Amino acid sequence: MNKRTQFVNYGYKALRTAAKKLYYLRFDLQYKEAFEKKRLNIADGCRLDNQFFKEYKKKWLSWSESAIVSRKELECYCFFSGIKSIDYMPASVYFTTIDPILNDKQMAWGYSEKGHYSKLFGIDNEPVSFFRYINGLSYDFGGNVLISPGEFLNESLKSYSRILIKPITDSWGGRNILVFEKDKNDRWVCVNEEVDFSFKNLVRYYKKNFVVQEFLNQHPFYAKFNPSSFNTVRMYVYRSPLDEKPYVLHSVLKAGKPNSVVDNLKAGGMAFYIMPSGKLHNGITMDLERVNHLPDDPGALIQDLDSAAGIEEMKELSRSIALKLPFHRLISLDINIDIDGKPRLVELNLSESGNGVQLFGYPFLGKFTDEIIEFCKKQKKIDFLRV
Amino acid sequence: MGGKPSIDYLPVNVFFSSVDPVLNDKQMAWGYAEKGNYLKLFDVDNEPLSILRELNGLWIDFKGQIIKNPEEFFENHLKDQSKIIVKPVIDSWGGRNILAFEKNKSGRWNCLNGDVSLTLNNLKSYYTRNFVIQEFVKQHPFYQRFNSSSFNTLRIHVYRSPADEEPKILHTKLKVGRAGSVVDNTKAGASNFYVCQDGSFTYGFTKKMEKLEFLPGEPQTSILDIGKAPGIDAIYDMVKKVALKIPYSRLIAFDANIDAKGKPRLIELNTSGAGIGSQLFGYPFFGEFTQEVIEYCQKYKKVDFLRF
Repeated sequence: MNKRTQFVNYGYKALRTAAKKLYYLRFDLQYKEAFEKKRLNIADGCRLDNQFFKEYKKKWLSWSESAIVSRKELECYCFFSGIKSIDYMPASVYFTTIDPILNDKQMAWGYSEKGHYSKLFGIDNEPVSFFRYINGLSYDFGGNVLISPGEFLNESLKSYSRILIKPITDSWGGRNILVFEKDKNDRWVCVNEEVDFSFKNLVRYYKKNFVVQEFLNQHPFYAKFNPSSFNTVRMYVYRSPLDEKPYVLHSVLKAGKPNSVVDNLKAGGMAFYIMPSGKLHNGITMDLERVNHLPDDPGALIQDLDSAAGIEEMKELSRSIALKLPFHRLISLDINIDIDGKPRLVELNLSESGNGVQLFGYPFLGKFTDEIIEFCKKQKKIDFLRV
Repeated sequence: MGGKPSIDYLPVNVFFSSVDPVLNDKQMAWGYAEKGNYLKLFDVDNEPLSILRELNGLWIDFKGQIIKNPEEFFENHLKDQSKIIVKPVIDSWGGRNILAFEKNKSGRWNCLNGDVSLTLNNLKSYYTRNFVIQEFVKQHPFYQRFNSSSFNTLRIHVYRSPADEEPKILHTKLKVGRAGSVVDNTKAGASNFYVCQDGSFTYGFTKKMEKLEFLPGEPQTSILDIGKAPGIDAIYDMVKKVALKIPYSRLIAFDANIDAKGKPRLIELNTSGAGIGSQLFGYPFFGEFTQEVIEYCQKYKKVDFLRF
């Protein structure tokens, strides 16, 4: 390496080290800011004492990449649920340190490609993906390359009355999801955007990639929460390095807002915690409002509902899929049973799927908290940034 | 080196900074290049048999099933093998961390290129994160003449043009391991011989850029006289088929060759950053597609892999 190259190389190393620090600090600050904005009426006498917060900081900051944890965040978890614990995992530590160690982000994209679950995991629980368009190539449900995609698309959809289209990668928060319904004249009409149904239009709309799937018919138990969206259960599964077995950490039912076709909280939905017994806990909105009855029926209290239908089948499917994801130890699955009671895997999140369930009073990592902290101390994270 | 001046030669820095990241989605590249998984991903049974994989604590057999007792499985399935190769499932570029083992007369496994004794625990601590144990594919006699200790593969660059979405073969070169080496990678001292699309050979280069016009070890045999590369058309068919199953990468480098029985075998594939060394033979990397690729890269943004 000559002197000029050496100089540039040193400069690059200094910059990337600084960039890495800033990258993590940005996460820390963003989360702190997000929690500062939350409106939470905490009576003065209920504030966390300094000693408790000090212990919390020691628990999470002494070994992680994060420099800051938010006191308001901890207050949110403790006071919203009424359960005080230093085991609540700070969102910043999760994103800067725990998630990148437990999950190999490099492999996450390839393993979470929608319309590909049957091939990747040997299951038939994904909504039927009639058609996929990726980067200029079009595929049928069998993964065969199509020569006349427009023709195939029209032909294969003849027997359907409602379909859903979404990006194959990067569709978090329900963004860019289109739902089409057939009208009386057998013409496809988009119910949530102004997009005409044609292969060319869809390519223009999505640019890089999209998948056309059947719109699943919801099981009546879950339709009560909102009939317009397919409300999924977000199931968090952790594979412990001690016995390599997958454990379901939490299950949360996401229900779309009235008339919404998606169930995402960011799109105005609400979340209901499902306890290990299958019984539902009260719900929460994005603005931290409590919901103790069905959205459309103030008389129907959540605590009086039956156990979540099909929850054991969903857990079983989630655990079996977790074992097909060797590069990830902490995953979340959006899953639910359909009208026939069959568990359907709608989406997979292999990194950064959030820790919001703590608002219900359950530390995210539960009984595995100390095990995971020890694991993270020992293991290096995958140098995703390669810096 | 190639004796043909042209402004179409692609500068290596432009390739890595601007062409490769536009043509290939690096985010998706890792998942699609996982070794031991080609059958599942591409519906081809041309990968060497992946007897056992250790991925982050999970043991997985050749069918993709979880193995509860890997020691027993390993012992049972190794009985049928006399030579095996072990490598990382991801990130094995340049032939690094590849171990080859051979059974000696008394049935004991010896490592041919390192000081590692063959136990699963040893392999686990050697590789840390992941590895795959594969059959060592027997080489076709034609390619064996170049070097018998390595499985010499053809590096084939395939480009999928946005104009018609058809995969095109850009270049093929035969990588030949140095004498005694079990790998054929240039970084490990291998030589490269350019193979024209009709299967005929031109000449080769050593790692030190010395021109090779004769078969290694046979100074009386000119490369021009050795005939056409056997199996080349079947290999081209296979790599084109696989290229169509990798929609996120428009430029893929395959390491493939036929085995002793003439069956095409896909050893490895590189879905990004595979290098453009073929230009040393006098062929601009993108050839007739140069202008098309420049225009495509002007039009499309590269995938923001770092997400800064």
